[in-house]
Amino acid sequence: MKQLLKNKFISVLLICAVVAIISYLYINRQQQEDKRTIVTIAVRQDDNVQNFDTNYYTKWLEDQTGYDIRFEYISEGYEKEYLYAMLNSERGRIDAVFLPEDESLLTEEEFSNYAGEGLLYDMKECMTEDCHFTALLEQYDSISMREKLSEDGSFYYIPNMDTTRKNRNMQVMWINMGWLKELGLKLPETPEELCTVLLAFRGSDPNGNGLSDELPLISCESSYELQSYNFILNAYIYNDPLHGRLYVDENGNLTSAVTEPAFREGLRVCANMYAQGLLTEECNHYSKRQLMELVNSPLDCVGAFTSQSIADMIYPNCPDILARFIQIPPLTGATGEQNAVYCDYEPSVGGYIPANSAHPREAFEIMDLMLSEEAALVASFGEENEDWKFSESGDLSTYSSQAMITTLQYITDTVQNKHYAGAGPLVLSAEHANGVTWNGNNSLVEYLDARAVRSYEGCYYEDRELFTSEERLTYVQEAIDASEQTDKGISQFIFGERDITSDEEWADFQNEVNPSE
Amino acid sequence: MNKECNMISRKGIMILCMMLMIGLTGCADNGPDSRRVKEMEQWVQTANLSGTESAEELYQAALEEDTLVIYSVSSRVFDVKDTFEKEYPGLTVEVKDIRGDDIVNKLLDNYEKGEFCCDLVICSDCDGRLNKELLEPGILYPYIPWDIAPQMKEGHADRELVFVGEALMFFYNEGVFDKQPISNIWELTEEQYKNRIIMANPLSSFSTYGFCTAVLSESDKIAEAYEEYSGDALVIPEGKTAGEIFWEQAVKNIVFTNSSDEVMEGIGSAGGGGYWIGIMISSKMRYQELGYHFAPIYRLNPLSTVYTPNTVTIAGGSKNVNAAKLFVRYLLGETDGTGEGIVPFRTEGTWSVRMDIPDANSVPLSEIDCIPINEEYLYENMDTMSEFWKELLKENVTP
Repeated sequence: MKQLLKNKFISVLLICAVVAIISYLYINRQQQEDKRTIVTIAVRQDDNVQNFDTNYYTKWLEDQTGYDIRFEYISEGYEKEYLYAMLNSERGRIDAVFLPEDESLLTEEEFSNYAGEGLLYDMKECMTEDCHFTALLEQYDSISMREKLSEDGSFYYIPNMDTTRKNRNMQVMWINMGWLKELGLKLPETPEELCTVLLAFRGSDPNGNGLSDELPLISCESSYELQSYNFILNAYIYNDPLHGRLYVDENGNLTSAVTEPAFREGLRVCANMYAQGLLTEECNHYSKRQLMELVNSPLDCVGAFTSQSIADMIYPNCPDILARFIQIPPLTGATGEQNAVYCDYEPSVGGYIPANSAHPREAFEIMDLMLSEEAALVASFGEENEDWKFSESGDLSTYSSQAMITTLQYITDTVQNKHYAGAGPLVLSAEHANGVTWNGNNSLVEYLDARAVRSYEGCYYEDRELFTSEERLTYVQEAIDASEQTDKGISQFIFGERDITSDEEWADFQNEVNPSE
Repeated sequence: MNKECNMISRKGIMILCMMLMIGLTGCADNGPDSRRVKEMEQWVQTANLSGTESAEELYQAALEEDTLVIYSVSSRVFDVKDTFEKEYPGLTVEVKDIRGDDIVNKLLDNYEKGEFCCDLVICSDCDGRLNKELLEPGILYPYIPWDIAPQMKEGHADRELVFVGEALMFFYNEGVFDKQPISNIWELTEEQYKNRIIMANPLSSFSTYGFCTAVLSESDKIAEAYEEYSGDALVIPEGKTAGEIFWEQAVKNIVFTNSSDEVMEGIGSAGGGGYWIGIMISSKMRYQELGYHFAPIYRLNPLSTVYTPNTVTIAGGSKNVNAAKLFVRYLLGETDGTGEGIVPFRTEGTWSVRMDIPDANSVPLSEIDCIPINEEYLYENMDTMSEFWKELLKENVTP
């Protein structure tokens, strides 16, 4: 009996010891967690992200940095006001801001103004030789990232940059295949054939609703890729609005294309299309969003449009509308001109730190980590071996090259809790971005874009390297700076405000865009 | 007393263990697999797949159901969906356009989880998996409308219901050649065709896989064709076949891509890269109307074409079985073959499966060097074939 009591006493003691140890460990961990620095990040809510706080990517970043990351949502509908107020608020409320991939919240000018007003934290102070941001600055294109991202030697944001081949191509023309089939028409290969097709679109009721509601070719002034006339002009002369519409003439000189007779001929054709009601002006001043609604309308009223990605105009989850449109390769002009415009990588603001941040260094550490390869893979594809894995040799990417990434669960454009749906600092290496396997879905926008871009890549301007060469950089920049006047004139000629057939008006235009000559 | 207590508790533990084992055995009997089989048996009874309902009766019953979900390898089903919804107001169709291999995997996964979210499957069976892994175990079921069955051509309404005849075949770029540039398959191994041939990755394209393995299965004919091509007998090392030697040499000239759409763009469009020869599904010939400039190679020694018919089957567990049956009827052109549903599939590059409807393709199968797909052979040799192609692709995919 005595032995039994003794045993029981020892057991109780043991249990007490175990409970004490567990309690100690728990309390200690709690204390440690309490001591963790809290970094608060402002972010716009995204329908495709279940919860930023419980997100796999957030947990991954917390594990790597040891900080406690918390999110505050940017007020919907008052984004700009929120962002400005936050920069002027009391110290320490927000430590960093992550912007969405679509660059919709802040214009370059607004951001520059904030920097000028001293409202942004200069990250130069945090940058070390071995940080990811420093490594990125020396990569990509002949104009280094350092020049693109710095403002007078200061760095106010960490970029978000799409490095896919799709993003290298300025615009693709997409045409309504259903209408072509309905009317027994072929894909146009020349501007004249395009005119014929658009005329049929306008007059033959291809959507079959008995109404004359067809918009043969839509265009939108909000960006170069949505201006469908830029696509047509490229069949006459190399028309590169991203580089001041410069081209290399027969003497090898870099010169303005807009003063050439071939450019005028292109404008004449576009103006003629407008006059015939083929190139519609009514949506010219729409926002991209409004244009998108038009293309996605069940009324099926759009014949053709241009965009960089098909997802810029058609919602990714509308397979029937995606199946309706097909890309047209660059048109060939009478003189054999067939051009596509190649883009440099253009970083947008991924994240920045307000000058009033209480934890700027910690915020920088998190954002810098987000530029690492490992983070970029999580941010793009989710959890390794759960959502994606490295490909086996022999697998093909959407671009039909050797694949690097095999998606196990395709979580782009779907509701998920693995990453931030592209928001925040993110630069995935081109090798990985272009090396993703196709999931077999014929309506996958990445696949449709990859197919389209391959029919444009062969038409990139062969002298494009000149635009970014050291000795011509200033000249190119001046032409880009003067673009506003040129763009305005082009639009006026096409949409009937000026007469392209008038030599006098053409001479006036040349003087406006080239005053020195 | 203690001993007695111990004995009682030991007995108690043993009884408990036995009860647990019996319980577990009972659970095994009612495990997910057998439960699923029972579910399927019940579903088959209620689905009444051999019923003799009219289209109108099916329509009335379908109005009580939900959206019909179709997994399809063919984007033309979107066109059928549009006219179907007009023909039968009140019914809605959702089409998921996915690859054949993914359809099989998705259905297996759905079945395992007991998620019967697909109603109808439109797919070709180019490696035998559809038949062996879905039809035989009772995950998919054929539905052959009773009044259309007498009109079906032989071999098209047996285990599976074929609704359109298609083929994987060679095509040439009409922008480069004004007539067929090859007459013997071995010409494709010549240096001049380096990077001039384009075909889909056989490991991701169901129909291309069927084509490649069909060539492998016809090794004797391939060897004979070699002799006619070169004048010498093909030297075949031990452990190899003529088909393997052909592909090992041909892949050095081939650029691989993801799908027949890309092959079509490669050989037929202005910006396609100017490939000379493409291997793709014949139904892409409908794009010739849109101006794609490619032409089929009908005659080639020893074969130009592998017949890969497209089937339609109802997914076991379908909650919208009346709508599914109605859609099958519609897809086949209804009783008299004049229904709108068949129209998107009556284009060049397709052959009719009904005796009362003529072929859409201008050249009948009998005038084409065509072999049927051998599903049994493909399924039995699937692992060997996959390994063979994996090895070839490792060395020959564009970096």
